[in-house]
Amino acid sequence: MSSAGLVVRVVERDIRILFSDSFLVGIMFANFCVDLFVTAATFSNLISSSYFLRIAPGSNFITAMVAAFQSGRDVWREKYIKDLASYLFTLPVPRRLFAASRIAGGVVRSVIATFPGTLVIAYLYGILFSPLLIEAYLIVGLFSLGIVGLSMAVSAFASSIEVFATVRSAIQLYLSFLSTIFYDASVFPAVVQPIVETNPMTWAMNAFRSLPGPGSALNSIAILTVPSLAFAALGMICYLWYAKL
Amino acid sequence: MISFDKTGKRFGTLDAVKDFSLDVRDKEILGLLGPNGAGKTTLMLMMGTVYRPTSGSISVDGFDVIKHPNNVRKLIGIAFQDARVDGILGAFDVLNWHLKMTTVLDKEERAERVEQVLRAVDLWDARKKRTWLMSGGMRKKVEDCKVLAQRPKIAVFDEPTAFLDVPSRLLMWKMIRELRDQGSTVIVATNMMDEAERLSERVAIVNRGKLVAIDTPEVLKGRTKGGEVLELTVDDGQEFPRGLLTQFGEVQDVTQNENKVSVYLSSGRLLLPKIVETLTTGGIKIQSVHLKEVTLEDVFLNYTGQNLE
Repeated sequence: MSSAGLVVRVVERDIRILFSDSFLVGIMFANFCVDLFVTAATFSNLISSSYFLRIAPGSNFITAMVAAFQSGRDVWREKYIKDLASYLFTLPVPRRLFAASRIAGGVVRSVIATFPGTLVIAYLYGILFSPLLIEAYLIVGLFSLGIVGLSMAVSAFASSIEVFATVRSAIQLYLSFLSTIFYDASVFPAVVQPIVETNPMTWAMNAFRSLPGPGSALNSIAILTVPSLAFAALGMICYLWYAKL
Repeated sequence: MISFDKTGKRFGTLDAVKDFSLDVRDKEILGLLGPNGAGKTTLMLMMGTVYRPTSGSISVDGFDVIKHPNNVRKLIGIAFQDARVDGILGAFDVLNWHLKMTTVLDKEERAERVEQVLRAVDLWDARKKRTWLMSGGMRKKVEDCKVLAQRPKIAVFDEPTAFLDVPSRLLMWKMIRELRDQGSTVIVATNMMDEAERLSERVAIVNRGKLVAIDTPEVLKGRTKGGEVLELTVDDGQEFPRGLLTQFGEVQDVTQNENKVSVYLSSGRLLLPKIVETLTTGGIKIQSVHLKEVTLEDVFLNYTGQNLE
């Protein structure tokens, strides 16, 4: 069987697990809707409709973040609760390819979970029927790639689900509130600004916000690619370390 | 052929397996018999490329498990002691995905193979039921079915009939034998004597990570204090004169535990009347006599000095 065929099969399992619990998929979309239409709409009433459009992609990225961390949690459960890991590692897939497949599976799951959300934001941004829609999904996919990598790295080292959940919460707080989802970097205290400006969420937001504007968003996408690939590589390395059992 | 050559696996300061050497022949059913914690599962996980041996080597069909792990994985299928299945998926999906990963069967062939094994173990009607909602016995069947459907060159079963009722156990043994008849080499790790005895062509006794003995069940039993055991119950408080019986060449050993006397014989049936007559003449009052064959339990006790259970 070809390497690509093996990757597809591993990804297929991850997708099947995602869809085997439609409640989970539904609740992620519900979270997105609450986030977008309650939080963002309230802010827009408080401030302006342009502020609503400004923070709207953040709701989708938060959903992507939740979905991406599900992949890390699944990997953790496979080792510590169900001991599925030892079964999976006996399958005829080279370890590196298997690790890459798990990350790819996480990205695909995340893009699926945010599929309707991305469409909604694309509609709000007026790019629903434009080729820019592909770039929108590319941005969500790249952001998910980094977060899946991070979640895999956390799952490799977390000795209990409490540790995993606590680290996940810390990362989610960092990504959500030390980024430009809600405010410009200039609003933050000077000492925090470098952290905000180098936050992958900031890069993802910048890339998405630049989609409807003049000029190409490819530069912003290229910037986002760097941390995403770095985190994905970190996730792979940690997964391979963990795969040694 | 599978070769373990002075294989060892150390976890921290614990030697789970130590200096383990064994050759598994092609197309045989080998029983790995040992108590919990003997190292059976560790041996299988090393063979399955999950654990790396810390000393020695293992080769599977000429492929070293460390140097060529993927070649080894293509040959092996392991059914684990506890079912390793995605609980959220149904039995059909679990088996179908396993075959997708381990075989080159097309969609129809896979569906046919899965249906065949699920019908055989009476799980076809429950094929869509999420495996985490299944009973322990049903889940165990799904786990065994992964390897039965895969038909790998080397099939490994860890406690294949744990949690199964008697009819299911007999059926599983039959299916494992059929798997061997189709060309697979089968390794069965078990701590159940009857399973090792009835299923295996050879039995390897493992204790504290070491190979203690290996041979056919018959030979192992034959080596153990003769071939039969005469169990006598005598009156309470009677001192049993061992010398009365050890005068017979066929008597290999006599042990006494309160009023229970075990006489290990090489040909008990022929000697039984003589023994009873000698003891009666010697004034020993016998309450009961029971002649039984040496079991693998006796063999295990003989080699390890401990009971298996």
